[in-house]
Amino acid sequence: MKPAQKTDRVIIAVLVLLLALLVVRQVLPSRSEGSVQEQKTGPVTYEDYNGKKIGIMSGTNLEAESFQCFPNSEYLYFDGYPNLNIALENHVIDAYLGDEPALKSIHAQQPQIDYIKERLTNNRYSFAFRKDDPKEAALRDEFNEFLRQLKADGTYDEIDSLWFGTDEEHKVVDMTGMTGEKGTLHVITTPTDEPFSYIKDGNLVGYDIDVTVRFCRAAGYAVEFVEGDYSARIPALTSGRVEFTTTMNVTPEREETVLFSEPVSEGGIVVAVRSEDLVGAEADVEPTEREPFFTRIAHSFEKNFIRENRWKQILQGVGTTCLITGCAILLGTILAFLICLLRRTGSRLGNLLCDIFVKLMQGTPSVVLLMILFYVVFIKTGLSAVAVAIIGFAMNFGAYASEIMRSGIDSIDPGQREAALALGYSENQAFNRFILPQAAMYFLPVYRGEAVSLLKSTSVVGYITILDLTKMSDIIRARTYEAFFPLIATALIYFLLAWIISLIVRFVLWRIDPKRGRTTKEVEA
Amino acid sequence: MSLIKVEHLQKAFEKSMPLKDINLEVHKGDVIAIIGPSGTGKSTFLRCLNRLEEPTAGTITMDGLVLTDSKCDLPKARRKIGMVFQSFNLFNNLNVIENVISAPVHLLKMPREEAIQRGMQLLQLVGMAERADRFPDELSGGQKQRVSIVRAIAMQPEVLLFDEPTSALDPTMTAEVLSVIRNLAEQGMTMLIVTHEMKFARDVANRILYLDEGVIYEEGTPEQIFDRPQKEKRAASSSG
Repeated sequence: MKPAQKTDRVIIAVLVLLLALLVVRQVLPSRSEGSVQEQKTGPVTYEDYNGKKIGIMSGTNLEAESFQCFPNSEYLYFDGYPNLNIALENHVIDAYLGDEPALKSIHAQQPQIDYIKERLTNNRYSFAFRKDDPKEAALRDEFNEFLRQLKADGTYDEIDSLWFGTDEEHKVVDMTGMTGEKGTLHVITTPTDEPFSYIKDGNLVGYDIDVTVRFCRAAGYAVEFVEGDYSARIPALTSGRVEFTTTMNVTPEREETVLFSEPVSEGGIVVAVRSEDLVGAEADVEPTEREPFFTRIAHSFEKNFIRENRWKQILQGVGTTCLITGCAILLGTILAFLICLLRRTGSRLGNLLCDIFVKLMQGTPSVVLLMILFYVVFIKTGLSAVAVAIIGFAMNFGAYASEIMRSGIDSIDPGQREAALALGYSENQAFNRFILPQAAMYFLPVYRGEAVSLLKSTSVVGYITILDLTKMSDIIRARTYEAFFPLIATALIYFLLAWIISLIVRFVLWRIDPKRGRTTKEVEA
Repeated sequence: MSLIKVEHLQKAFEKSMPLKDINLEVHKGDVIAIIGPSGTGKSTFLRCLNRLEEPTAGTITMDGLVLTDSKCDLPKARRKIGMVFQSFNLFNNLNVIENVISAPVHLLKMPREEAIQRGMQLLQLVGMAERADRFPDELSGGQKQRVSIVRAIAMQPEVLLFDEPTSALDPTMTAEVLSVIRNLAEQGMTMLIVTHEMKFARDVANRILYLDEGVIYEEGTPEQIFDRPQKEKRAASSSG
């Protein structure tokens, strides 16, 4: 078992490297460059940031706004507040545009991030429904009626002060009492958007969630939340995957595609910057003393994995990733086998169909394939996102694996088949007993590589509202505002999963190796 | 009565016709050496007999069974026709004894213990018993060919086809393989052997076929063929 020892050594080396990375990262002081503050006196305005590096949250209306405010800037795109904050804190960008309520809560948790108090725009945030659909219009009206009631009886103010307040203990959503007599509503939300929608103690909570649940309870619906990126929300809505989405900025452009409710909350776009760059009364950050190295690590670990049982979220993500990968490998292998069989029949049509399928799969990025399957092909079937992901990845894997199998089968001497036929075996017996076992010895090592690359490519399933390992670490980062531990832990877990796949394939290889159980000594004796 | 009867056998490829009109009767116990210039379709003829090559026309009958009939159960018929290849074609994923017993166990449903016992006896005869647990890639060419002969006779065929069994071997290995074939001939096994070993053909065969121009150009006993060539072309080739 020489190769096994070698792999083990590689794994130890990788672990040592990761540890070294951890030490370097924690010991080195973070970069500090010239700030806006040094170049001018007086309050900082957004105009000071024109020409600086600007972060943009993709899939939102903030993009157009950013172009207008900072015409001379360089733009970098991010997929949510967590990544924007990390980039801002580490001087990758100098500012970004965000919604005031979100930034208020970010600043409360992360004093090094602040925002310029002057609003660039005044915005309304509304729930959005599907347009040109009478049922949806009725639902929207029902929702509006409910909002008016909330505002009238004072509940609205209670909700507002709870989620924008500091009373952490009561920030829970009571999910009971929903009868579902009028059916189940599917609601898409982006759970990295504190205080509107986020995960706390493993539960989905927030302002929007609270309002949604209260509405469903009052109107007699049950609710099923679907978690997706900002960019996934409108496609999910227009394609009919969900009945409505939690609040988004009301813009004229969006009003053309969706039907907005009455505004639920109001706010505006503000410029997020580093606190150190703000001057005068706006800078209210106290310099924090650096804790000792190991305390900091322990603290960070506690915050990212132990607090609120966040490790459970990671485990859940690992489970989803394993489920998708495992099923896709299994189904994909069966599909690859069927493709090989169809090719072996020698039918021209069959061969052509296989060729088209394989070329199509090889030429389509898996994330695009997934979105096509999710938002177009299976839209009417009500198939769950995980099932769609399994189908998509199985198709992709099947195409690649069939090519791998074919090249393995082609590499077997045709004399093996002839010898079997001459003895009286049928074509199928010859294939199963002699050609396939020999071909497997050739193609399994390549197949293993393909399986590992499938595992890694499942990290895009966040695009179709699945909370896999990658997405779960995003969600944790959205709450802890730390990049290091969640990302490194995620990488490490993928690495270990890949290693497990390797072990399984190696075991299969060992099982089918005709020479297994014989030592070199025996052969030479 | 003849064991195998070949009538008007023809094999045409897109650009050539190696076999035009072959007629032959093989009797039980015949040892037939098939000789002739390279590329005249000797191997093609042999491979047509168990339909590894599909004949274009003609009939092949064996024990009253028409092999060229489309309704013929080919896998079953092939069990009676052993074949030994130029490149051995031992199953690389099986060791020596498994190569020998696979077909009897899988196809004849012979109990495994019995198959092993018989297989070991046969391997003993060709001097390969002590290498029964080796894999093909651990054997020399001559050893592989001896095992492949055992694999063929383990099915107890009525006839054995040899397709240039020694062409891939060096002289010492050739000798060990030829002696095995010679032993089989002495035991009365019916065989058709495509070969370039003229001395061997003369020693072991009771009939020689000279194949050329797509037909059996000349046929006779070894004495007739080698000592008194009947046709001009033959005379030219055997003297040259």
